[in-house]
Amino acid sequence: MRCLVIEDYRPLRESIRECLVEGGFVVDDYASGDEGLWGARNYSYEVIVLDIMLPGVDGLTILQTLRRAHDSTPVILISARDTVRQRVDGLNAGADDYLIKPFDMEELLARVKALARRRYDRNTPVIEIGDLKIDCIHKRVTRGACEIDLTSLQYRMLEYLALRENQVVSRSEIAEHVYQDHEMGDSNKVDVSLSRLRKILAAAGDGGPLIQTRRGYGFILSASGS
Amino acid sequence: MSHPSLRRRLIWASTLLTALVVIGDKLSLYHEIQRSLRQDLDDQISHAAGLLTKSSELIPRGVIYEWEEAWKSGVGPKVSGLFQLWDLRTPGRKSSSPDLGTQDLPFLDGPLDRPTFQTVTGEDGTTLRVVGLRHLPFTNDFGVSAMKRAGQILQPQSYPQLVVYAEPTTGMEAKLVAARKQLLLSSIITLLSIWIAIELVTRWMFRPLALLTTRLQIRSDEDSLAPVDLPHDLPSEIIPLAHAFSDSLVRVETARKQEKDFAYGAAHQLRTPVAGLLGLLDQALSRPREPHDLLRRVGDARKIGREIRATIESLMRVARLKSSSADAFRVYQPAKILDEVTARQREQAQRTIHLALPPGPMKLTGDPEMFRVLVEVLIENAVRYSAGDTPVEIDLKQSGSQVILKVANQASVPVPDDRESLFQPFQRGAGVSVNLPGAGLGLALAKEAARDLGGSVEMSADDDQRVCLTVILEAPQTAN
Repeated sequence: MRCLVIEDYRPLRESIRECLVEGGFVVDDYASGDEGLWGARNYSYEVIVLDIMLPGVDGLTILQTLRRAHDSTPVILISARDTVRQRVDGLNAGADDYLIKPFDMEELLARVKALARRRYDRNTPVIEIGDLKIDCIHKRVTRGACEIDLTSLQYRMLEYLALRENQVVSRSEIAEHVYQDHEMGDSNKVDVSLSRLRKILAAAGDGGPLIQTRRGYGFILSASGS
Repeated sequence: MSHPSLRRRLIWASTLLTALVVIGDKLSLYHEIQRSLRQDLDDQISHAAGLLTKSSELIPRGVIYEWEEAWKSGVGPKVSGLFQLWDLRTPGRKSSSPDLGTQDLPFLDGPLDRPTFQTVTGEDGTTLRVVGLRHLPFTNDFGVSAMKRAGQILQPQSYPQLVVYAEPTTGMEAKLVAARKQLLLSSIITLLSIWIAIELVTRWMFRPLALLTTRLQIRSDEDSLAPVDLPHDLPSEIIPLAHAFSDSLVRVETARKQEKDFAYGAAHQLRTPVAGLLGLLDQALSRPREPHDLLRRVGDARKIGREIRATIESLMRVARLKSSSADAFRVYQPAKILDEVTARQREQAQRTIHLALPPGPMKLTGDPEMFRVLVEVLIENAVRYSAGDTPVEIDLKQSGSQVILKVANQASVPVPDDRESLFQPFQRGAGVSVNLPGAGLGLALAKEAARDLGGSVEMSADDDQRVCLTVILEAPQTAN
């Protein structure tokens, strides 16, 4: 899943980025409101972590701009403003969550993950599809009784497809939401990675193929036989 | 601790004073009534005595009392009253009224034809008002002729008489009792009326105070800074006090709000670097890290710690500024201080700073440390927000009675249109990155310091982003 972080204070921005990457997200980060707004308009994200006091365009303006454009990407506001009025204003502007500085990174990560799950109508951190079980908190994947060992990239790919169960996901969407910038290489990379993932899943269980190809469209993950 | 009630004191004092006046007045009235009644009685008995003197007739054989002659003869009217007549020429000779019986009245002798009064208590306990009147018997032509015929003309002067007349005072006493009752009743009614009137008036007059109290409480609950809305019917004597109280309240609450805002701003300013510090440490501890990686993270955390320390030091400067006392005031040379500060800034900032000082000596009166803080802040501010390698220009001069200090630089960030806002604590302008060191307190400090020195500071900027901070201080006439 891909996350956008817009925070001008460098040490905090870097810590948030690192925390989200280690939490399994692909992260884009910007230090100014103008750049952040550009990024939010031009790319698709599961969650946006947005500071309010930004140089250039401030966070609330970015949020209102997105909402006016009918962009429903979940947004969590982070701010030093802690009065009830300010929190209410932030939420009324369209934010999905509000976190007051200073905060624990663990809490931020948990809130971001919760918002990302809600984006795909998932209320629990455990995804079960047929005999496949993905524990998003502990990053454990099992199929039946068999625990599956995946690389970070393979896990992110599987998690993303699982969140979008029964939906066709295009290659470009996978590339955008799963791959860090430095991980993308040639255009075949998605196919190669998916192929490996399929093999690993097939080897782990008898339930039949979970990831299927829809030629010309993309890929779909569903319970066996669907 | 109990507080005196103004209304109660007003009521009691007014009632007491009024009571004293009313009682005094009623007593005076009563005495007058009493005097008048007594006078009436005295007049009455004097008149009666006077009438009785007319019955003393001098005839050739001496003095006779006509009333007695008539009474004894049985043909005259019944004589009532209490009186006695003495023949002073013949001791022991007296004539008493039938009503007197065997009682004797006091022998009230006095000057001729001048009544003498006395109050006595009779044998039966009755109080009597008695008048005694020495007089001379009358004689007429008939009597003189008779005396001539008898061969001896008697002279009335040789036959002085004394009439003593008495009248019970019961009638007068009854009237006095009635008068007393009446006066007492009227006093009570008067006092009661006055007390009720005072009670009602004071309640009416104090009602606006209760309303004022309620409005103050509401205002306090709402945490408002607006002046208190005074009731329109507040007594005029209290209006100046109410206005003064309202003004003081606004000043105190404004100062309290400023302090609260300052504390809030300080906490707010520290939140982001603290969040950065915690984030760094959270990440450093979230999983096992390589030593060099851990070292890097700890170094970053220390850097943030220093930023926080610098912010706290700025806050302490502001606090110290607010507590500076008049004891620090003395004559000082601003050029000398400016020169020292500029030299130090040149070393630390490694930026070109041009300083123009006046040719002759210049002196100011005030707190030299305050002036030092002011120039330090202005120069640090200019250095921090200067673009590229552009120099900072400082100029100190005297113009008439004013000392003018200018600190100019080419700004590295956009200068907001609302420049006055930059002099508020924690305001750095919308274009300033939070990564730039500083807490947004510099210009607020400068403004506070300039004001404490009796001057002012203003910011001007041109279209090319050239910013100039101008401080104007008053130079004492005698110092230079």
